[in-house]
Amino acid sequence: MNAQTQCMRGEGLCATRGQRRVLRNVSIDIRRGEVLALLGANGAGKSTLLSILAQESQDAHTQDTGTIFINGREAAPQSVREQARQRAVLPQGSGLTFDLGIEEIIQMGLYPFPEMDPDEASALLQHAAQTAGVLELLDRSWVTLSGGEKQRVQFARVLVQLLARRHDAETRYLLMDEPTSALDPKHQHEFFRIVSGLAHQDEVGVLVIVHDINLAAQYCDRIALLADGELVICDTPERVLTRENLYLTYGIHSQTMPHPIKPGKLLVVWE
Amino acid sequence: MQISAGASGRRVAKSFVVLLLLLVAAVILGSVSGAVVIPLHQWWPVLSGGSGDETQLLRQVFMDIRLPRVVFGIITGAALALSGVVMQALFRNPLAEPGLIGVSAGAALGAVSAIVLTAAGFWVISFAAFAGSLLSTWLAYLVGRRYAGVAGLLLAGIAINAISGSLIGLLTYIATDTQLRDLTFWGMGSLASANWRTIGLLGPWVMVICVLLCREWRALNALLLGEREVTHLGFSMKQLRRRLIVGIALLVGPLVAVTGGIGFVGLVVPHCLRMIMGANHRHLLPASLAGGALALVLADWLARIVVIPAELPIGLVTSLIGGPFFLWLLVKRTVR
Repeated sequence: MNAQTQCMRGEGLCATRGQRRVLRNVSIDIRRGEVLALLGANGAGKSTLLSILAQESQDAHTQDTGTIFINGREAAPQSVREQARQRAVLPQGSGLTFDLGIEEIIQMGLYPFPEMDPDEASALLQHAAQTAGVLELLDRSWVTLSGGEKQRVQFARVLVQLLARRHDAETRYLLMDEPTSALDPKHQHEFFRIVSGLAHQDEVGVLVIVHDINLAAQYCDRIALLADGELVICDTPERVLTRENLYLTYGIHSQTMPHPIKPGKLLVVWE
Repeated sequence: MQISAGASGRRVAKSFVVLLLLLVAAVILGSVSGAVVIPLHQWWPVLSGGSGDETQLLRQVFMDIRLPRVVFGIITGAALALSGVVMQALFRNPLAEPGLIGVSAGAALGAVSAIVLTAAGFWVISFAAFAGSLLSTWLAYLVGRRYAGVAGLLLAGIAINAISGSLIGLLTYIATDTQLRDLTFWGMGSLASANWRTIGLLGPWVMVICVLLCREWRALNALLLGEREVTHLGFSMKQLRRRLIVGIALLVGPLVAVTGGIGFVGLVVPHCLRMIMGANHRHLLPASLAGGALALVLADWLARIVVIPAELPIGLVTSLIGGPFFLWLLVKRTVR
């Protein structure tokens, strides 16, 4: 399998919202089996970049340019269903206010795969619910869940969508917008351990927007820094987490040092 | 714990059985009682076409008046409740109803125009109402699709409702007294015009569209999560929006054109069903067909028996009962 084609690639992405140029000529690739963190200050264009990579429907007032390739094939001509079979998205928070059952929400991950055999489907649902740690939530009602619990249920739904075709050779991708913002430290670390397992064992390509730079340094294979709509750098944590890059991104000085507990990892301290 | 249909599946099955039993009871009630009562010992002779003057008379009442009305009530109620469910999912708001995109206001404007500006009969009024509903929905859709999601649709719908309302006011102002009476009654709705010809025309039409809309249950569930999630789960939001709007316009338009304004069925019935069986559209859509049919057959029965031998407009009954009932539901919900 060739590394050129087994990735999701955005080429020359530009986005304008109103009069503002939110993204300027960003090119980025998410590779098979890696966790790529996307970091940047508020308003740097992270969520816009993610929504473009997710090919979310745009209204008539936005004019975005650039091309997305999934596994070497251009995404735009593919049907929405075809794309959903290769790419799952976990948005920030959820606007669900209706009373759906937890199982019914997790089952939605199967919607792009109507051909799936029921036995295989229920095994997959079981596996995803267990991995996301939501088995004990199954008989609860959605409206009674806490923010963190809701986030984990949505994660289980996305897992189902990603793992439905896990025996395929084609790489599948996961895009997440601040998935850990509602989680406590224990669940944040647990979450990233699951995500890195997903990338390294199931060979999913993961892009994750995260604010905690030390979470990114610990669990992500590469880090992309976005500042004012432009890509500062996209590389391994060792090359990215320098005083200059971080200043360019956030406008605040920092020091990067070896992690005192986790060998081989870095720790960033803000001044 | 295992993921399975389990308890909620049983609850859903039970709700369906209860709904269908209630519907059968309502159909029997609606068929036998009214200004003329079909007594129990005449049920079988009437059904089997027995002889005797009384039986023949009752059979005529049953076949030509009662049954068409009940059947048309089933069709209309099912369609109104289903379109309510679809609208509430599309707008992700439990207070949405088909009128939001101008279907009813357009129909009313068409009907009132026909009544006031021409010396029109029933079919011309119906046709004008249908044309009005299609035109206004199409306008709302044209303006609304310039925006992502449904916000534009909602705003365009509000504007079109306001325009229709003021034009109706203008026409009411210049109407004669007889026309005033006609258009007031049109606005309150009635199933009195039900006959086998209308049913033959609208029945299959409504059935096909209802089946098509029921098949959208996955996309409607995805809509509850959010508009972006619809795309993430493999449905094109633009195409979905178009399919749903066209479906509702073609479903509600012709029915409103024949029955006039029947309020609250599309709002209250889905709301009750959601409280009983949850929001999963896989079950909610078919259940709304049965629930809407039940509600309208009962409402029509009430409309016929309250002021025998005259009858109330059915839209009056649905609003009179539906409005307070809805308020009671809301209050009960906040207290709990």
